Amino acid sequence: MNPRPRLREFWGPTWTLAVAILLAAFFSIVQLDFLEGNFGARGGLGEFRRFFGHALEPTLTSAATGTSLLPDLEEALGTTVLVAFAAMGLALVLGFVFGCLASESLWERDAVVMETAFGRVVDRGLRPTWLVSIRALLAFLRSIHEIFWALLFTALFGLSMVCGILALAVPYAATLGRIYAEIIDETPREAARAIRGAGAGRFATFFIGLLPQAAAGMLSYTFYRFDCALRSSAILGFVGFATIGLNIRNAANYDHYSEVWTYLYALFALLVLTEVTSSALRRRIAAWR
Amino acid sequence: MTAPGQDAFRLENVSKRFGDLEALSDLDLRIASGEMVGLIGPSGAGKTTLLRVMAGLLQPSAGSILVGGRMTSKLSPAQLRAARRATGFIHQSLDLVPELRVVSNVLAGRLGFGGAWQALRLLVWPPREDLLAAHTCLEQVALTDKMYERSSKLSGGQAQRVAIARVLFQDPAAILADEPVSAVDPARARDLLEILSRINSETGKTIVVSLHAIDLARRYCDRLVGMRDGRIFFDRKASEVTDAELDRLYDLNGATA
Repeated sequence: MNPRPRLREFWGPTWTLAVAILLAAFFSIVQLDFLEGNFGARGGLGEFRRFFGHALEPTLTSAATGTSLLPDLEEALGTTVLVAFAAMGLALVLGFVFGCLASESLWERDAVVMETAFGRVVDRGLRPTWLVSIRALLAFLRSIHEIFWALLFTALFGLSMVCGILALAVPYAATLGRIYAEIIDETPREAARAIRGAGAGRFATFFIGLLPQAAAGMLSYTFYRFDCALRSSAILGFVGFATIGLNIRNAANYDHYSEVWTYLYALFALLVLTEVTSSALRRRIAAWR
Repeated sequence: MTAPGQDAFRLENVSKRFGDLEALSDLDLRIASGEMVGLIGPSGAGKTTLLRVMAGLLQPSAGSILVGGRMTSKLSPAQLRAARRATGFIHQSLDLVPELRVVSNVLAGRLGFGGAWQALRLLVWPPREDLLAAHTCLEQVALTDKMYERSSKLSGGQAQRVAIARVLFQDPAAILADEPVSAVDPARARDLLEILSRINSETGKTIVVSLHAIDLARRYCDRLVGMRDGRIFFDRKASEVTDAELDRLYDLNGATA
C-alpha cells in the first residue's frame, strides 16, 4: 500500500527553510511598523532626496569657515591610513604568534618517541585541551566586532588613538591567527618530516619545513585583510576617532551634504586604490609560489 | 663515526606490523661499517619499511635495532634526535622545501644539531663556514651553479642531487636511500649511483640503497639483499647473485628460497 504523497515531502527542507525565513522577516517588519515609513524626526524622505541631490556637487570649500577643505581631507585620509597600518602591524605580529601556537602541525606527535606516562597525558589531555582553549580564545576575540571593542576601550580609557588602534588590532589578530593556523595545517608535511627525520627539533622543523611553504598564502591573506582594516579604520571615525568617518559624521550633522560627498568620494578612491594595489600584489605572490 | 669493520646496523628479530599487514617479519640483518648495500625485491616486499625502521623514522613492532652500536628503540625525544642525526635519509619523494633556495635546503641538513634559534638564523644569516661547507657538498653533486636557485625550479634529477647534498652536509656515518632513482631517466640514475658510490669509497660512509633497477644494483653495490614478503630472500655478494635467484625473487607466482 502506497502512503499518500504529501506536499511537505515534495517541498523538502530547503524550501521550507526559505519560507520560514521570509515569514520571520515579514512578521518583524509588521511588528516594527516599517511599512508606515516613518523616517524619524529630522526630515523624512525629503532629507534623503536633498542628500542625493548633492551627489554631483562635492565641494572643496568648507561651509562653516569658507576656507579650503583640502587640509582637513588630507589629514583625515592620512589618519585613516595610519590607523590601518598601525593596527595591521600589531595584528600581524600577534596573529603570527597566535597562528603558530594554534596550528596542529607545531604540536604534532612524533610516532617513534618512547611511550611514557607523561607522553600519554600530553596526547590525551594537554595537547587537545591546549588546541581547544587557544581556538576558543581566538573565536571569542574575533566574535566581538571592532566597533564594540572601540566603544569598550573608549568607555574604559577615554578617546585616544591607542584605543582606536587596539580596537582594530585585537579582533584582526584573532582572525589572522585563525586563518594562519589553517593555512599552516593545510601545508604538505613531507618536507617537514624529512627534516624531523634528520634529527631536527619541533620548532626548527616548523620554521624551516612548514612556514616557508605557508608564507605565500599567509602574506596573500594579510593583504586582503589590510583592505578590510582600511574600511574599519574609516568607520572608527563614527565612534569619534579622528579618521575620515568623523569628518563624514560631522558634515552630515550640520547638513553639509556637499562636504559629505567629497569625503565619501575621497574614501572610495582610497579604497579602490588599495584594493587594486593589494590584488596586484596577491597575484604576484601567487605567481611567485 | 663507527670504526671500520664494526657493525653499522644490526637488526635482530625485527618485525613491523601495520594493522593486519606484516611488513617485516622476524628479520635479522647485519651491515658492516663502510659497506655499500643494495636492497632489491618486488614492490611491497618491505624495503621502504626496513629503511625507515633503520633510520629511526618508524618504531618496529618487535625486535631490536642497533645503529653504530646504539639501540634505536624506546628512546626519549633527545636520544631519538641524536640517533637520527647519525643516519641520513634520502626519500623517494625528495621532500625538499620547494619555496626555499637550494642552499637553504642543504643547510637544513644540520638542523638536528641546533634548536629553533639556529633554524631561524639559518634562514636569515647563516654562518660563513656553513655556507662554505654547503658549497663543498653541492660541489660533490656538481650543482654549485644552482646554489641560489629556488628549489621548486629544479628538475627531478637536480632535486635528487640536492637531497644528496643535504645528507652530505648532515655528515652522518650512514646514508639510507629509498628508491633514489625511481623518478629519473637511466642516464641520470647511473649518474646518481656514481655519486653515491664515490661517497661510499671516498668517505667510508655506509650506504644502503633500495633499487628497482637490478643492473644498477649489481654494478654499484658490494652486496645485495633480496627481500620478499617482509623477509630476507637472499643476502650475498653482488657478484655472486645469479640470474636464477633474481628470477625467483621477482616471480609473481610466489617462490621458495
